Amino acid sequence: MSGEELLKIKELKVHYYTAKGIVKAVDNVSLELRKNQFLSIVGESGCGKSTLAHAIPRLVRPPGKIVSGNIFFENKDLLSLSDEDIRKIRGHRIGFVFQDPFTSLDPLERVGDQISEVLIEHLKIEKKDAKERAMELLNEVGLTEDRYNYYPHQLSGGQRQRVAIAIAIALRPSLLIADEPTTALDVMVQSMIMDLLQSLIKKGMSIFFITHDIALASERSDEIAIMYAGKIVEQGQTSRIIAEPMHPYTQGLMAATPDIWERKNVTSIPGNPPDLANPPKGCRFHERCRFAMEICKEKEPPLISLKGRKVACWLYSDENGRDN
Amino acid sequence: MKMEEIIRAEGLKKYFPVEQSFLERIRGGNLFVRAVDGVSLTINKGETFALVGESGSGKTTMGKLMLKLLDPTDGRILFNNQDITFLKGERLRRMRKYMQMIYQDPYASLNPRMKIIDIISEPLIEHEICDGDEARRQAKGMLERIGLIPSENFANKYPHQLSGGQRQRIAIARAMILKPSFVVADEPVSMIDVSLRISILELLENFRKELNTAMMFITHDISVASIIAKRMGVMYLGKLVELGLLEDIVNTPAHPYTIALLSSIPSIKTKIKGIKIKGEIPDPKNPPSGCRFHPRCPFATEKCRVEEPPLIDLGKGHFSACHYAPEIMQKARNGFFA
Repeated sequence: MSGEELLKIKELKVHYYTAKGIVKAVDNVSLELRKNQFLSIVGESGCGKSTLAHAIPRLVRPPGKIVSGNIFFENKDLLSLSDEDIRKIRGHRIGFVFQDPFTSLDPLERVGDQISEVLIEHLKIEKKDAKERAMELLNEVGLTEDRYNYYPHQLSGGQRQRVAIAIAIALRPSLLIADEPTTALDVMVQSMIMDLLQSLIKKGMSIFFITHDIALASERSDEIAIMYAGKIVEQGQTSRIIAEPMHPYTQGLMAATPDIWERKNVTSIPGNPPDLANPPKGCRFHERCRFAMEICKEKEPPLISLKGRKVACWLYSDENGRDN
Repeated sequence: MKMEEIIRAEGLKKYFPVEQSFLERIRGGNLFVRAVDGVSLTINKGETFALVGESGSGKTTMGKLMLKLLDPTDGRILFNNQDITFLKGERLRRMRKYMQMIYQDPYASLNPRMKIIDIISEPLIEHEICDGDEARRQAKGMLERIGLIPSENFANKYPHQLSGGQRQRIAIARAMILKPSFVVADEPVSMIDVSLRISILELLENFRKELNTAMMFITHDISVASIIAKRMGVMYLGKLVELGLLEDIVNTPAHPYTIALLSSIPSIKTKIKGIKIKGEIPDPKNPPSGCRFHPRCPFATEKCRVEEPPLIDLGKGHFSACHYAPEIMQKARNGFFA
C-alpha cells in the first residue's frame, strides 16, 4: 500500500548544548510517513528517538535545539512556520501522546472537562455540544461515559492513557505521535492500547510510534526504523526487516529480545551505548559490532537502499557509497 | 535429583487498611486492600522461581512478605523448615543475611552518597562477617566478578557516575556478597536496555549456580521469566491462579487468565490467536465474588460467580485455580494458539 505522503523529515539535526559538550541526539535523520501508515521508531534509551518525536511539532526544549534540516507536513515546512502557526498545527493536525499521561493531564480537573476544554478552545463550540462530543470521544477510546466525571488519579494507568489519546485525537489530527505510550503499562493493557492506536489508522490517521521494544513494533507497524546513537541505521517495511535484518544492530536487538513461542538462545549485545557528547568515530556501532572492519572505525557508513529497505553499514556498501 | 525446600509460604495473607474518613468507617466498616490473599508456595534450594502478574496482582507484596520485610496478616513462612513468621529483633537480623532483595530501580536502591566499594562491602561489615579491610578486599573481587574491570577504576566512584546496567550489577553484587540462600529479585531488568538485559540475567544465573542460591524472580513479563526460571506461579488479584513448570504453563495453560496474559505478549515472529479479554484488574478493595477473574473470563459460568475455585492438581506439579482447568487445558492442547 503506497498512500499519499504525509510527513517528510529531511536531514534533521537536533543538538543539546550541555556542560559536557554538544550532544547530537538526532544526527542527520531523514524519514517519510505516508497517510494511514503506522511507523515505529525502535531504539534504546538515549538513542534520540524521543527527541526526534518531539522535534516534529517543534516541542524540543532548551538546551535542545533543532539545528538544521526540514520537516514537511501536509505540504508545509514546519521549521519555517511562525510560533502561532505551529501552535495551530499542534492539536489540530498533530496529536501527541506521552509515556506518562500524568504529565499531560491536569490532576485537579475532571478528565471529561479536560477533553471538552480542548474542543471549546479550538472549535469555538458551546459547552453543551463539547460535553456531548467529549462523551463520544470517551466511547471511541474504549471508556464508558461515566468516566467523564473522574479525576486522573481515580483512573488506572491504562485508562489515563486512553484519556490522553482522546485529548490527542479530539480535533481529528492526521498524525498522532506516540512516545512510548505503553512502556509504563502491563502487557495486557499494552495490547489493548495498541489495538486502540491501530483502530485510529482505519479512521484515517497515521501513527508515529516510539518504542524500545522491537517485538511490539514488529507486531503492530507497517514500517520500522531502527535508531542507534542519533542515527537511523536500518529502515523499511516491517515484514522485510524482520525476515532478514541486515544491520548488525538490528540483528543484535532481535537476538536480545526473548520470545516465549520460540526456544532460542537470547544474547546481549556486548558493551554499552556510546556517550552522544563524545560518539565514536566512523560507524557509531563499531565498538559493539562483531563484524567491525577497519573502515568502520574511520568512516561513517552511508544509508543506502538495498533489498527493499535502507541500511547504513559497510558490510553492504563500498567506500564510494555504492552497493557491494 | 531430589529437591530440597528452602522456603515455604502457607496461606499467606496481607491486608492493608484503606485510608477512610470516620464517617466512611461508620457506614461501611473498615476497608482493606487484600494485596495477598491466601497464597501457598514452595521454593527449592538453588531454584529460580518466577512470580508473574500485572501491577495490582500482589506479586511485589508477596516478595516482601517472603523476606519478612512486611508482617503477614495471616499464614506462615518457613525458611529451612523453621517458622520465621514471628521472628523479631536480633534473631530476625541474623537471619536476614541469608535472604536478600534486588530491586527494580538501580537508581533508587543504591545510596547516592556512598562509594561503590563501600556499597558492596557494607553488608559484610553490618553482619560482622569480617573486618573492614577484608570486606573491601572481597568487594574488590566482587567488582571484577561482575565485570566492572579494572576494579580500581570503579571502586571509588559514586552510583550516579555509572550507567543503569552497571548500577544493577552493583545491586546484585551487594546482595550476593553475603552468599544468601534465598534472593527475591523484583523486576531486576525491566528498567535496563534490551541489549543489556540478558547479560544481567546471566550474572544472576551464574551466582545462582555458584552459590546454590534460590531465587524468586518477580516480573510482569513471561518472556523474560522464560530465560531464567524453570517454574512459575501466576498471580491475579492477590491469588495464585496457576503454578507449575514454566514450559508446561506456556504450552498448555490451564487458566483463562494465563491464556489471556500469554496472548498479549508481543512476539517478533509468532502470530497467535489466543484470547482477548476486556477490562482491567478490578479494585482489590472490593474483589469480585467466587473466582476473582470471572467478570472478565470468556468461559465463566454461574458456578464461577458463586464458588471460589481451589487450586486443582493437574499432575506433574501443575496446578490451576479454575473450576474448568482440565477442559481449559484440553482447549489449549487443541490449539488456542493455532
